Amino acid sequence: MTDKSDDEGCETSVSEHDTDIICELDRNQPASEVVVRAVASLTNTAVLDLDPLYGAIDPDRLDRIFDNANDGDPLEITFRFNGCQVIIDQGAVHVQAGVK
Amino acid sequence: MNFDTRLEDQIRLLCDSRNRAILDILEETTETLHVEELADRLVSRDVDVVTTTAYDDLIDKTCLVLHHRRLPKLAEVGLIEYDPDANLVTPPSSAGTNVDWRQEEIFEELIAQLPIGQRGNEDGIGVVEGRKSVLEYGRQLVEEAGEEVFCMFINTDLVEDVCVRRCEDALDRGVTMYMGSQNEAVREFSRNHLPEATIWEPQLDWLNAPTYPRVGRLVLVDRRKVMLAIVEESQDEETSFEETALVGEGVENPLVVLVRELLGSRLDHLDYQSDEFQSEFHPRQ
Repeated sequence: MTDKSDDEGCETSVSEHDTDIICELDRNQPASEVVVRAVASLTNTAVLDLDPLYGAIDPDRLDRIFDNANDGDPLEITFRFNGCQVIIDQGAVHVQAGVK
Repeated sequence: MNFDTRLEDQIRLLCDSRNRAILDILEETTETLHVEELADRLVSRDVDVVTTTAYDDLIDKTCLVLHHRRLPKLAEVGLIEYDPDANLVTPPSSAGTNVDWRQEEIFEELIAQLPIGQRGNEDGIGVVEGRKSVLEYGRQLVEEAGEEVFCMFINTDLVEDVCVRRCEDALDRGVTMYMGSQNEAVREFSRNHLPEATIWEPQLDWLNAPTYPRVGRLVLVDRRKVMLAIVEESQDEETSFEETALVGEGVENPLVVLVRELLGSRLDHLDYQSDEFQSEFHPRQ
């Protein structure tokens, strides 16, 4: 039962080998939510079937950082989540699959 | 001596009304719930949603937030049990770690767990023992007030002469003062001695327990310093009751956050209530 998760409101580009995905950040969706949906989409897993994000990073803290960041602040957060490498910077969430 | 940090973590999480809603729902069902079921109940509690699409989207988003943020946090401090693989939520099995925020027992539990005599800072809650110390602490708080003092008393015994003087001084400094009590004698007293203060009538269960131990007085200064005094029937014949206060300071302090949350909408509705109240009891001039 793996549904492709719905990543509406998210600009995505997926590489031809389907091993990574980039999701733009916007003010309407918390960064933590963009991350979850991006990883769900890339790994073809339902949102509820992923390991909880809280196990990889505190979503509240993550969102606070990105809410408070000013444009142009150098900001980059990297972590592993459900077998993917997640890199978040000011503009977007970059997810790379197949990372141990 | 150590704080029970787990208890503090529990309180911090309980300060969020969404978390309390989750616990309420679990309590109502007393059974295992799937995340989707929980999301459904949460959404229908809070929201008047018009379209099916909007409703589905909200459920979808709520499930995400529950599974990835709230439930693991609540489970980590023992407020619930969560199986992330099966997506099943259950109330915690051990009663000992459960903080039932609606009862006065939460305060008893806090008192039992905390060291004595510290002034609570950002990280913790302090305890002040004995009526004299409690009074002194309350006076200090009012003296330090810059913008607003919000008080509640259960009876006139607790509104000491010295408190009134400090309040008068604060009013002279331009501090906004709110005096509340379910007890008409206290309100009358306030009207007479502190005519510039806004009087209100608390309707909150937790402020109006009929039996001891109960909250005897509450002082919240500038929305970031709080003293919550619990009164207990006295064993000793000379005094009518014993008093212990929980104190906390700082916008992030768990006691401050909790009290603000619990007073929450009442703080917003104060003006409305007091106008209504005033016109009811002072029909003339």
